[in-house]
Amino acid sequence: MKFLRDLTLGHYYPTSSPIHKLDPRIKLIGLCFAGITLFALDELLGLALFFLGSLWLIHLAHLPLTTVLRGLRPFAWLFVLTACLQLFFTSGRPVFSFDLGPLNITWEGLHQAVRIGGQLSLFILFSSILTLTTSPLELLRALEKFGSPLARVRIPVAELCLAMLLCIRFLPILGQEAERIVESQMARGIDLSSGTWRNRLEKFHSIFFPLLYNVLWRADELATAMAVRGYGQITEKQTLKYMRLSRVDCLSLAVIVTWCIALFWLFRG
Amino acid sequence: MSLVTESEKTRWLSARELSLVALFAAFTGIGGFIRVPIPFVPLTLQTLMVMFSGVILGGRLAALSQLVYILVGLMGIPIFAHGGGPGYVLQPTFGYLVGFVCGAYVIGRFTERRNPLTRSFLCMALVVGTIAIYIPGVSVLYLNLNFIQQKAVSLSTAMTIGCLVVLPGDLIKIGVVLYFGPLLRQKIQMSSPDIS
Repeated sequence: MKFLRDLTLGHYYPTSSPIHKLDPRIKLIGLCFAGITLFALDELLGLALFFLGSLWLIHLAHLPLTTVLRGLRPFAWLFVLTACLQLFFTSGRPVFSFDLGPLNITWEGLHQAVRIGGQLSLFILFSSILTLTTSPLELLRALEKFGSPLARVRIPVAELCLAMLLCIRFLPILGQEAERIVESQMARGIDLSSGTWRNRLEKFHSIFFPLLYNVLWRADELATAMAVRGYGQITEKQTLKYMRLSRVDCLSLAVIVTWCIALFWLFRG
Repeated sequence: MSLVTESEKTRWLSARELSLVALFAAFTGIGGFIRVPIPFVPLTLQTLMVMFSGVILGGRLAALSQLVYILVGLMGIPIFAHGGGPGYVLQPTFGYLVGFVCGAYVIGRFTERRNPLTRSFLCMALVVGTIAIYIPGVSVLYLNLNFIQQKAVSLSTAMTIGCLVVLPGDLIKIGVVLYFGPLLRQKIQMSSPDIS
């Protein structure tokens, strides 16, 4: 069991770049625009231009290419699924003159596989750039800002964001705790990978219950700490850092929107 | 919790409720790393936590804890089965994550006022909760295959793929929660009677 020591940072790649300095709200809106435009495009040339745009963004954000590509690795099975679905289940003109039965590949299938595979990988690439250049806390602040109108219809956006913040904070702590419990049970001779089903479930009990008590105990402590610090007493939330859009932010948004509209106009299906 | 004051109760979530939501979301995230190697289906705490959170926290808090878990994963913290990040919404299985919120809510609503919790009633709640997980799961799978993968797949085919693949694992999970659920509820109520 290997826990990520930097679980609180997620994919974030801390460095100084113009993309890192952009307002997280602009990056989120940009991702939405890029996603909508990507899936509306029908021509491969449009996708190729998007790919060039993403390379330029990676260069601008000072991100190593290997780090960006590592973000795509968990989605490998999605690409394999897409390729199989498109290559083997699309009718049209066959690529090979000889018959391969159910494994026949058509030119239309090949085109679809490249187009849909490209759309998926580009969206994942853009979302990867977003999470690599924006820390989870910044994203959280952006979400809170976007969700603030929902608070008027009594949706507890601020509370949800605080819960997310606490969740991110407690992930590594609980991770280490879980690691310690598993290791200590193993030191007592408990081997999870041997024995009958019932036996294994009994062993599972010895890990689950200590972890659960730990969570409940920490929840109690946290609630006390929050109550002592006046949670619920102060109605207006105050932040250390206010989010204000700069001229660069507005200009960047204008560039993203223009780029997306231009590509949509030129290469729409 | 004696320190949860009256004025605090007027808020949508009290300090104790909020900390339970946050910590159970973190627990679900960490649970993915703990596997019990049962043949054919690797049993992780992550998926079990949907059912357990319902039994322990009750409908509203369980659903919120699962919602927080999904949002934290979408923000790029790698706590889902295949990493995390906003790109995860394109996974055909993303609907099951949405279903976790519905499932946790349904299981929680059914079991929260039931005291003592009998195994037959819990079994019914878990079956209905699992159906509540499958509805968004199959719907998103259907939409993903038809509109993102652009393959004309009928709803019945999507249901066959979406249910049959995950059903054996879920039956085992229902068995595990049935085995531990009532015991868990009893132990927790003994230690902190105001939890659910």
